[in-house]
Amino acid sequence: MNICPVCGEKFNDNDLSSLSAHFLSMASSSDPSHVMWLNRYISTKKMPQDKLADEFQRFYDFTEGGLADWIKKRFVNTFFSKDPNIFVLEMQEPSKYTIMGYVTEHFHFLKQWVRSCAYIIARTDFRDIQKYELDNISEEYFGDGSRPPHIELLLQMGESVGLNRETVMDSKPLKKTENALKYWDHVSSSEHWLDAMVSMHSLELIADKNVKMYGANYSYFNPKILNGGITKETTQFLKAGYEADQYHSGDALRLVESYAKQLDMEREVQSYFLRSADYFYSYLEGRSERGKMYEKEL
Amino acid sequence: MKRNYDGCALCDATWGEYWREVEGERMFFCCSICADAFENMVKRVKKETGWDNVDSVSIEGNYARGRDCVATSGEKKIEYFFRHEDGKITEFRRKDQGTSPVP
Repeated sequence: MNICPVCGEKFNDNDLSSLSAHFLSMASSSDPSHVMWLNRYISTKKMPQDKLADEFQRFYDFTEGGLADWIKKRFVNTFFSKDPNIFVLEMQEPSKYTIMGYVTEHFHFLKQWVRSCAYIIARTDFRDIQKYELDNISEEYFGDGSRPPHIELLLQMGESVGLNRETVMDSKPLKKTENALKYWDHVSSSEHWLDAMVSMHSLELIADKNVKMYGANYSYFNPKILNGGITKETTQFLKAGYEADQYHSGDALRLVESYAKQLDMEREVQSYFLRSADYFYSYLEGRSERGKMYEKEL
Repeated sequence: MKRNYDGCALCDATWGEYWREVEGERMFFCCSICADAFENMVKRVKKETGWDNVDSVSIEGNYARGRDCVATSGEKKIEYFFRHEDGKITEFRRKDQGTSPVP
């Protein structure tokens, strides 16, 4: 099975001919989302279906380096290229408003995160997966007793730049965040647990300090922030994520690669990753948008 | 209106089949969002400059990077940078006069 990385339409073949025919049809009717995807990932130049199918074959090919490496390279290309996501750009020299936007939208993201991880636990019998998700939930949301959970560090980061936690907790997510959360909730509750796993845990690559090994022109934030950020709470939160997400995503992608092969779901997993990354792109724009709203208001 | 792209007036893509009249001229775009962005960008240039018409637009860049542009009207010229989201202008900066926030 394969899905369209833009609209999620399902195809019962892995050879990419149905997918390329679908894209060609959507592009012919000038559907903005499909056209933008082709422009961004394949080519800005129109081509016949057989050539497009060849381009898709090249795009999806993970024989060199394996599936986990393919995901890392694609992620880096989307978020850390010379034209990075706008939020990544802002995080190189973040203002207090950038941090406020980050805290507010990410609070909502983490609420969905814990639900998604719990769905994965509920929908698989593999104990290594369940244990992985359980550890992740503890670290992100409840803490392990010795250190505060990431969600608490996030709220403390907000308070340190003048954003009280009640404002964050009472806020409603912006439209871009809300759309992304709805999607991740749907994938986690309704699709295969492995599709949910790649959709969620590939996103932790955003804070992976090894992205430069995969051709990144940027990292998530300028590392000098760790030696003295806007506030010590900012440094503390970013440092925790930097150290945790690196092994989170690495471990998760190793599990994804292994089970995708075992369950013959490699193509499907690739497309679910791509679709989730697109929602994540938009969600990061939401953080930037929220920061600009605070800048106007305050 | 003279342009530097043969494909979509905003992004030069040749996918799609979307046409819209902008400034009295029927133009090709790859999708409605590019058409909205181009149309809003031209309106913004006219508002910023007070020009009655725009004779040429040259665009370099993309969605993520934003776009550096030069527009002319007769002998007059403006250089600017803009970004859009869903066709709406989210940032517009005259290069010679600093940032001009979107109202």
